[in-house]
Amino acid sequence: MRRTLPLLSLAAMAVVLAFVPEAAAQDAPPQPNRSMTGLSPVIGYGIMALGAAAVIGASLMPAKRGHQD
Amino acid sequence: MIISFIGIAIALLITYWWSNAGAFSAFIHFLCVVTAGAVAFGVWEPASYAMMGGDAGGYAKGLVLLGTFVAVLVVLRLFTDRFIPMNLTLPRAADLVLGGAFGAGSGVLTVGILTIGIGFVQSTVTIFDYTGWSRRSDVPTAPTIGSDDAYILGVAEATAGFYGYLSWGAYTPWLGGGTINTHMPQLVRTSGALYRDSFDEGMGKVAIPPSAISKIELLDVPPVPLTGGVGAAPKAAWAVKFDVSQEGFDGAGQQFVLSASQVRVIGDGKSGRAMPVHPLAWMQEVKGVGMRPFFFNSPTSYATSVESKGDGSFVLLFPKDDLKGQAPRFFEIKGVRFRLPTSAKSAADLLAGGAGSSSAKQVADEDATNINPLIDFPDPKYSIGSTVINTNAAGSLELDKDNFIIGGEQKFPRNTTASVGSDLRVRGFKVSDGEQLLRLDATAQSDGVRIFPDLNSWVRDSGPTAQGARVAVIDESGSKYYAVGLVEDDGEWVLVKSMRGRPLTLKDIPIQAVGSGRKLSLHFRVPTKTKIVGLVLATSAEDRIVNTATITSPDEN
Repeated sequence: MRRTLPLLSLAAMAVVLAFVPEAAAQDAPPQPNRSMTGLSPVIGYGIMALGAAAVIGASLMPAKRGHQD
Repeated sequence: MIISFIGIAIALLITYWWSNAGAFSAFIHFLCVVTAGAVAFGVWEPASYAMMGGDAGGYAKGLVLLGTFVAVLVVLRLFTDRFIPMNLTLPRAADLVLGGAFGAGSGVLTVGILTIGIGFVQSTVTIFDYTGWSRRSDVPTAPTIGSDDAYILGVAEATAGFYGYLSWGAYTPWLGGGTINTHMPQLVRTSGALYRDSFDEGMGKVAIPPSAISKIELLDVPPVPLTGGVGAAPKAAWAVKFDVSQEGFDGAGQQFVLSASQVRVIGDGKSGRAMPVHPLAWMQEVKGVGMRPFFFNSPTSYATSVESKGDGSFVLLFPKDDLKGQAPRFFEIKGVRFRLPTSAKSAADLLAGGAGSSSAKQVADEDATNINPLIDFPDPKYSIGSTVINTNAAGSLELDKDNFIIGGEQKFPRNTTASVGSDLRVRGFKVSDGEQLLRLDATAQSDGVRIFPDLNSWVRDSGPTAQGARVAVIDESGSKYYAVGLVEDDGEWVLVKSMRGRPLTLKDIPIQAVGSGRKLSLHFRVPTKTKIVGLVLATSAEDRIVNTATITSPDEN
């Protein structure tokens, strides 16, 4: 047995947006869940520091080029 | 100022270094830097996309750009030092001046690439005192994006402009025909710091696996108000509709959160320079209300999925005017760029039923049995059941600060009587406010859940399709809540496995034979007071209801 859920019509959404802007403007969007587990910036800082060190190190590799004469 | 000072100091140091090394060596190094940067910009996106689904997803783009640049630069330097061993003798003054000039070029490009690269590393929006471009409370107009005019932006802009020019000319990629200006416009704004400008000052997820976004549609929307002000003038807009799956959610799969800075539409770049545009408004589902429009008119405006729900469908609206007459070509979200359909659907087509919905077809299995007796809503603190785990022995399980499980898997000896203090006891799978933990006894038995080959002919006959099916409970509105983890107890050992935000599929479940005696429980996060009507196996084609239920999650404990 197959059944299909009522389809969500984008047109209906567009119509809502078009015809009730004042009402929509008064609605604050739902806020993200504040209790979600956030990511730590420490790893990012570490990668930045390592990346900077590697870039500087590669840029300052001495050229041991001798003279032609 | 600190970051700008450090960056400019590094550029000056490189200038000084190569000025002293002489003009010829500085020239060789400059060529190596140019080539290494071009190779890095050429390969970083395809290479980083492959990493964006893993734990390093938020660092992938920065790591690949910087890593490729450094690796190629070192190889080229070793190669040139080996095969161009002799110097070119110039007068000392010329050596210094020309060496300094090439050194300055190398310094600017190197610091520019470094600035762009670290901008694509997940971290806080502001690094020390450097932000660059971000959503700001002092920018009154949506999407509230402005700049702090940091000096280092100039160095990064010079670098991006240089490689944009190269990619248009001598360094044009063989494949794809894209350039930095057509595929990555406003690269410096993205790296500093629109890419990182996520929820919670950058602690929200900045990267998303490409597979998490699906069913992208482009829609031509007639003039509508795109700002929240009363009497706002209607503007024609492009709307992009898309679905996002749980593997792209924040908080280990708890909720999808998107800021205006993290998404944009990129024009076709027919003049050689594509125009990007960020959304001004969006539509999302609001629990108990349905789809509602909102506006990105504040830095606190975020598109969010309904909590606990395992997927989300959004419509973002982009003002046509800001594309300066270009046709929309790409849709870029959380660091991943997708090609938009070449033809847009119109609202009229949609009204006539010309467009489908993101909802998959539901197929009710005629052999489905009711599983109400197999469902309970335990206190998440004590939901593991078969063993007591000390945080010091948690192995590869990842825990949050309250010792709830947010990732990883580990086997533990079965032990329900160990004495572990409350501060050191590993809790169950993490749930948030407004959610309940639904625990389903999924032990393989004849009157149990019908997700195993021995109990379901579709699972047996569909092979890889069935094994890739995601396991979810579904509520009366059709919303799916995917399993976030499992606990398997074989009598001696207890396996605890968290999906870390990725929906659990059948192939994630250890083989269960009917009559084996192994106890298996699947854990789901569901909203409070939600009527659960069944257990589904969700594929890209259909939601197959394999068991029914008539049970409502309780209110908050």
